[in-house]
This record gives sequence, structure tokens and C-alpha cells, in this order.
Amino acid sequence: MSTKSRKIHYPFSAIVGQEEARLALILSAITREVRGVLLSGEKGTGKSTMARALAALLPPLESQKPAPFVNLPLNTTEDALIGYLDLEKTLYQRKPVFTPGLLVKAHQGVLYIDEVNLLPEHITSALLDAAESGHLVIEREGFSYELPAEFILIGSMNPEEGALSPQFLDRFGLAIEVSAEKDPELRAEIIKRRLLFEKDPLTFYAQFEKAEEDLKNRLKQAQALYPEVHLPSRLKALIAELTREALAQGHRADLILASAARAHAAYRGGKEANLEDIEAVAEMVLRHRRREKSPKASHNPREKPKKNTEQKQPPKPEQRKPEKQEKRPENLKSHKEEPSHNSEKEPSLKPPEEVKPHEGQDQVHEIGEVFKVRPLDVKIRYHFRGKSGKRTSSHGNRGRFVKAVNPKGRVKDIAVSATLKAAAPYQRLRGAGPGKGFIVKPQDLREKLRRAKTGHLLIFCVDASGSMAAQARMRETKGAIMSLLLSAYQKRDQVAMITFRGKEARLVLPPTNSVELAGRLLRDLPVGGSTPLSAALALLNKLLHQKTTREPEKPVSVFLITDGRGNVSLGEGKPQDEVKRLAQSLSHSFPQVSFVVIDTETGQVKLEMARELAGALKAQYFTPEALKADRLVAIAREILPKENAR
Amino acid sequence: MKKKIFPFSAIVGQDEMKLALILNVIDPSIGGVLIRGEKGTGKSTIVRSLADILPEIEVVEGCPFSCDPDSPAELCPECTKRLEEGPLPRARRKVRVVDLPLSATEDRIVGTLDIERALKTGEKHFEPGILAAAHRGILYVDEINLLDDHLVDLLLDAAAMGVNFVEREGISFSHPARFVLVGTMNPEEGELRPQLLDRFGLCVQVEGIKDPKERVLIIERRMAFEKDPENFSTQFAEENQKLASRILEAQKILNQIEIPEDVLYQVAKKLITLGVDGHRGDLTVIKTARAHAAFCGRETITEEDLKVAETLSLPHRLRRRPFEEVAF
Repeated sequence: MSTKSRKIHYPFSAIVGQEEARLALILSAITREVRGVLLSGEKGTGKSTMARALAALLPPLESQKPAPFVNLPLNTTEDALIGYLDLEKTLYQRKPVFTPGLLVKAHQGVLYIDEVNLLPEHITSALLDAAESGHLVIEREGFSYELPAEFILIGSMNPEEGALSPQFLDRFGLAIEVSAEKDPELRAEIIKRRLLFEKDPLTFYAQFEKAEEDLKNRLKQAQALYPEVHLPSRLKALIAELTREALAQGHRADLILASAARAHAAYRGGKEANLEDIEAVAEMVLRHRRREKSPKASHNPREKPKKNTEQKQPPKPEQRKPEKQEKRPENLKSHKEEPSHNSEKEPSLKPPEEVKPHEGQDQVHEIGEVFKVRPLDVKIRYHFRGKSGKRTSSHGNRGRFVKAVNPKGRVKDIAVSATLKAAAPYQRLRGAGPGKGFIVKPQDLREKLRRAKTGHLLIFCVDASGSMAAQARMRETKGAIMSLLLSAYQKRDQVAMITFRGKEARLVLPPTNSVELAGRLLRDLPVGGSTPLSAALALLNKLLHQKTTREPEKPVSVFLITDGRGNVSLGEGKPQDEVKRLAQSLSHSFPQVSFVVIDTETGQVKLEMARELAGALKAQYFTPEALKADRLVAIAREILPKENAR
Repeated sequence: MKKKIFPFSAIVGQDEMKLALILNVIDPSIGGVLIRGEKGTGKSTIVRSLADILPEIEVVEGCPFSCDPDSPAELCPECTKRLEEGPLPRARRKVRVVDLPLSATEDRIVGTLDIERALKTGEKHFEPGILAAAHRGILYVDEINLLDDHLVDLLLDAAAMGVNFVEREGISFSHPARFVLVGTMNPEEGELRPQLLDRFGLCVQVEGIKDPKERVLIIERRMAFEKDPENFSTQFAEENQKLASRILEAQKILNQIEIPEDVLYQVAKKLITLGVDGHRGDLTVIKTARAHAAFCGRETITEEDLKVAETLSLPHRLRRRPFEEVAF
């Protein structure tokens, strides 16, 4: 085997299918004015392979080293991204030496972020600044630098894992939906090539070497030609018209569309962009910027590219309700815009594979109006903001390094650079000198303060029995849950959902951050059958036990939404006795958890069983009226500060 | 002192799980196994007993990352330096099974800087972590569904890139970290994050054995083992040895196995019909079928190989509603 130390990557020209994605990547490589590509789609569709292959096409650096490909790991720290104090050099040279981070390493190459939607926010914002400006301004740890950081930003995401924050979405020039090849012949070809490549990369590469070289040359020519490509003014007008029609916000869409069209022209060797160039790139530019037509459309185009295709058939105008000015994920908005259609119509709105045959008399209710989230949201935020630091920071060695602090007690987790900095001024005084090393005294030690991603856990325990089907109760309940889910989304809290009906209780949604999934699940929640309330409480017990053991510091709230008429028992006893016993034991075992019972009982004769349940749980109790928005605010106000105080 | 391991061949039943593990040993690029099942069904025992039948690999002598002397493109920085000075010294050792405990800290997994040494001598010395130990071996995570999110991120990064990047304050270091990920989970305690689920090549469901005779046999063997592990292991040594050489044989012929064009087509068509996400599934089915054919000593992939491969590699890939339980 040769000693060639550079790893062979899958060649760009050997990629089968994915024309749009390949074109977008090429365009982004022709000029940085296109501002990168977001690849959105299922897992295992070759997103990373394409990004890596693109880097191999780029011209080498001045130093003759190949253009860098930097893969940003999910566990990146701000230090790694921006730069840090180089310990070794600092100790040797006796002066602080700064090592630039990944953003600078990616200069003139590709910065690839897999699962960009899962990246922590503080990393995202640091990244955005550099991506936009093409250089990195460093002002930290006493260093002040400005370094070039021009890279092609390529992100990939699986929209099922949650949406990308809108400001980040907009920063990507082009957005592509990647999906697996549907033609069996092509698909077979993909596997064949992959297997050949894995077996013998060198031979495989040799087969495509000519094509790769051609592509490299074409790219180089296009890069050279790009600055000269002219965009006729009638086409500028067309661009303005297109972006206006798409209701794209700001001028970024116009600028990127113009650049992309010119890059496309350069790629085909033309000196003037034409209509075809615009047609070829328009969808890539507008896909993630298109917004719904509506008078007060949300100023947050939160939709993920994938959603857009579904939304090309907008709901009928007569069905539309006036839009409220609220921040919320797109999927929720679309629920509201498709109100009051019955359950037979429901399946047609979903992709066919998601249709699940409903048993017997089960019904699926629409989500009722998601009411007045805003006041609730504001209140919660208000309460949370004040104490959020206390809520999530800890001195344990879990989580991410936030800052260096003076240690309390024995130092376990030294913050090296801060420690050195603290010791630095005293070096001469302490007699340090060449050959004597760096002198660190105990009082110099600094410890890392870490912040674990704890947040809040909200567990929804929803009664989906037949009695909930009566009237519009389930719709209203769903609306209420949705409102709470929304505030959870905005605070990056976790949610979990247990439903109970028929004979069993199921954990339909294990604790997750993806509120979008919770919403989808909630929408499709069928109702019918008896009320196995005891089973639900037993399951709740198990879940709470698990969560509190694993993350004892995490605040947990349980929302129990039921009429309390449990009629299926786990053992021999009467259902109601069992419920009471279980509830008492829950409240006894988990004093740190706040329970809330929302009574959904309606009608003339009230059995008030939910009230009894609330008593046994030592829970706060609310009646159906509380499901209305203004009351939810009150609920939130009463519950949340209490948790914060802990 | 060597810890006594229950011999692989002495394990009663659970053939599917055993097969899935063996196929991964034959071709590590299949991508690991997720074992789903109740407590006490021998999940951990089987994974641990695998150590007995694992083949040997060539490593660079003294390298903490077990670099492969035959793949110069994938060496740790230290070995790259050594290679410039001359050929790398070689050593042989068995493929390892490395445990990742749930309580592991980030530092222990990715490795860390030896701070004491750094402050005393000014040298930057990297203390390798679990991912380094698992390179070219098996990384075993019991109850993987209970692993903390930030640790899952670490695993995902390493599994996706085959490299462990350590970029923390004061250190920037990377080394190869390719491993067969074997995870066990009890689905009652929560599902796995979809990205992690997708990283597993194969998925098997285990249940307690129902046949009373076999159950008795399990108890008898366990008791015999606990009473006199040495003697018990000797009894099964020959069978273990046989299996080990069969695996070795399969590894040798793996790359010569013919994959007919129409098999590729057939698999592609089937997975499109089933609506499996992406292309990773196609590749896993083919690779698993190939490993199975090799294990059976065949020269080409047959229907039977495909059937086995589909059973093992599709259950967790079939399109389902989010958070719906994995269908079996």
C-alpha cells in the first residue's frame, strides 16, 4: 500500500442523482456571495458525502495544502470554534499565545455542520457572525485579533428533529431538500458504487479522476468569470418581482438570487445571466424564505424547507381565521389555518404512510384554538429570566463550560487559561525565570462553572378515553396542551406525554425537546374506550422515578388532564380506591414535583372525581374554564415561580 | 487476574442476537447492533462473552489508539510522526470490547489533558479516553437509551466521522475512532434518539426463552460456570475455537463474495416500497447479506442471506410515526 497520507474521499462526480443539491453546492463554491447551502432531508442521503466531496474540488491554498474541510462536531465549545489560549506555547514562551479555532481553520475551505438544527445557540451565533462577515473578530481572554475566515457554510439537518432558528435559516443562501433516490436502478447504482469505493478507494478514484479534473477546471473558470457576469436590468426587475411574490423578508433574498443567477451563468460559461439562470436557481433561494400570504404574517419565517411543499396548497380562504401576531413554529400555524374539518378528511392532509387505521369508534379531534399564547409566554419568560442562571448552572462536571470562577472547596475542574492568567502577574515576584517553570499557587486556581442543559420537564398526562370525546372537550383540551407546549418550545424545555385509554396507558412521547413532534402526536391522538387512570398513574410513577434519579436537579411539572373517572383497575380493587392510593403515593414519593390537575368534567351532574384526585396528589386543581387563555396565565403564574424558587 | 468470561458457545438460544454480533465482527462496517429487550435476557452476558471469539488485529506497538499499521491514511498524530522515521513496529492483539458506563464523564470518553503534567513540565500530554480504547474494537453501551444527551452527541460525532475530535480549552487533538457500537436497551424505559437509532446497522429484539427445557439448561450451565469457571470454560473451549476460526475464515473471503447486479436492484426496489429513509439501509442490507454469505462459506449472496439481512437490518428503519415504538 502506498504511504500517501491523504485520505481518499468519495469523488463529487461519482455521486448519483441529487442534481439540485450538486448544483447548489457548485454555485456556493463559485462565489461566497451565494452564502452557503442548507441541505435538509432524511438521514443517510449522502449529505455529508457531498459536502466533503465539494471541498476536494476547491483550489488548493497558497501553501499548496488542499482546501480545508472542517466538520463541526456537535459538542464544539466556543473555545474550539473561536480560539483559545494555547497552553503548551504559553508555558514555553512565557507569554500568552492564542491559537485560532475552527472558524479560522476553515478559511478558504468548507465548514460543514451536520445536524445544524441541534447546535447550541451560543455556538450558532458566533458562527453566524463569521459566516456573514468573512472574518473573525476575537475579543476574549485579553486577546484582540481580527482574522480572515472566509468559508463555504454547508449545513445539513433532518427536519424531524426540530426546526432551525429563523435567523439562522435566513443566513443560508440556498436551501435544498434532499431525499433518497426513488428509482431502483439508480439506487442499486448508488450501493454498487459505494461498495466499490469502500473496497478499493484508490482504484475507484482513478476511474473518476478525469471527471474530477474537468469539474475542478470548470469551477476554476467559473470563479474567474463570475465577477464579469452581467445581470441585465430587466432581470433585476424580475428578481424583485419574484422575491416580492414570495413575501421574502428584507433584501437578502434579492441579493442572493442575483448572485446565484450570475454564478449559474458563469458555470455555463456565459457572460450575461439570462432567464434560464434565474429559473434554475430561484427555488433554491426562495424555498426557505417564502412566507404565507396573510395580513399580519408572523415575522418569523420559521418554516423548514420541507414544510413548504406541503404548504403549496394553501387552505381555502373561507376557512382561514385571522392570523394572530405570535411567535410559533410553523406547524402550529398550519393547524390553526385548517380548522374544523372532520376526521374523515383528516388523513388527506397527511402523507399516506402516516395514516393509521383507527380502531372502532375512536375519533381524532382537531386541535382547538391555540389561544392567547402570548400573555402566557411573556409571563413565563419573565419569571424564568430572572432566575435562569440559578436554574441551570452547576458546579458539577457535567455540561458545558460557561466561565471560570473562584473555586469553592476542593478544585476538581481547573479552568486552565484563567488559572494561568491569574498567576501571570506574580511570576517575577515569585522568582520564576528561564528553566524554573511557571509558578502557580493555590490562590491562582480557577474552576470551571458548567451549565448543564437541564431546563424544565413538563409531563402531560392526557385522558383519551371515550368520555373525553363528548362535545368539543377534546378539541379544547388539545388547544390548551398546545399552548403549554408552545411556551415549552420557546424556553427549550423538555416535554413528555402519556395518554391513557382502553386498557392501558402509554408513554407516547418520551421526554424530548422536539415540541413539533409532540404537536403532531397530539393532533393525531385518537379518543375512545374506558379510562385506565390507575395505569396512567403507575406509568407516571415509573417515568418520574427514572427522570428524578437521572437528573435530580431538573424541575418537573406534571399536568394531569382528565375528568378523573377512572374505571379500569390494575389489580383486584375498585378503580377509584386504587387511583386514590396511587395518587397519594405519587405525591409522597415525589415531593419535588409539582402536580396540576385540569378537570375536564362537564355536564349537569358533576362527580368531582378529578377534584378528589387533585386532593390526593396535593395538586393544584383547575376547572374547564381554566383552559381558557387568561386563566392559563394564572396557572402559569402560580406554578412556575414556585418551581423557580427551588 | 483475568476475569472469567462465560463462554460464547455455552449460551443457550438467542441465536439472532449472536448472529448479529458475529456478522458485525466479520464486517465491522455493518455499523453495530442495537439489542432491545427486557432485563435479564442475557444481553450483557452475550456481549461480554464475545471477547473469547474475537479475532486478532495488527496494531502499531505501543500506540494508545491501536492504529492500524496498514492504513497510513488513518493514523494518530504520534504514529504519523513515527512513520516518517521508518516502518511502524507491529504487534498483534485481540479485538477489544470496551465498556461505556452511563456515569462516564465527557473527559473520560473523549480523553483529556493531563493537567498536572502540563503545569509541572509544560508538556502537553493527552490522556486517551474510552473512544481511543474502542478504536477498531467494540464499544458496548448498556442501557444506551438512558445515556445523557451530551454524551450521545459525543458518540454520534465519533460514529459519524470515524474520528474523535477533542477541541477543548487548551487542547486540540484528534485521533481515529472507528468502532462497532453495540447498545442494549429496555424499550420500556424510553426510546432512543432517532439519529442514534439510525447509526446502528442492525437491531434485534430479545425475549426470555420460553421453552422449559432450555430454561433448565440455562440454569444448569450458569450454576456449573459459577462453581468452577475454569473447568466449565474448558468444556466449551473447542467449540469457541471452532467458531473463532469460522469467523476468521469468513473475514478472509468477505471481499471476494460476488454481489449480483439483480440482488442490488432487488434490495433497492424492496426498500423503496417499504419507504426506508435514505440509502444507509440499502447498504446495510447488502453488507449484512454479504457477511452472512461469508459466514456460511458461500461465494455469492443467496436468497437466504438476503432474508437474514433484512430481518436484522430493517426493523428500526421502517418508516413510522415519530416516537411510535419500533415495530417487530
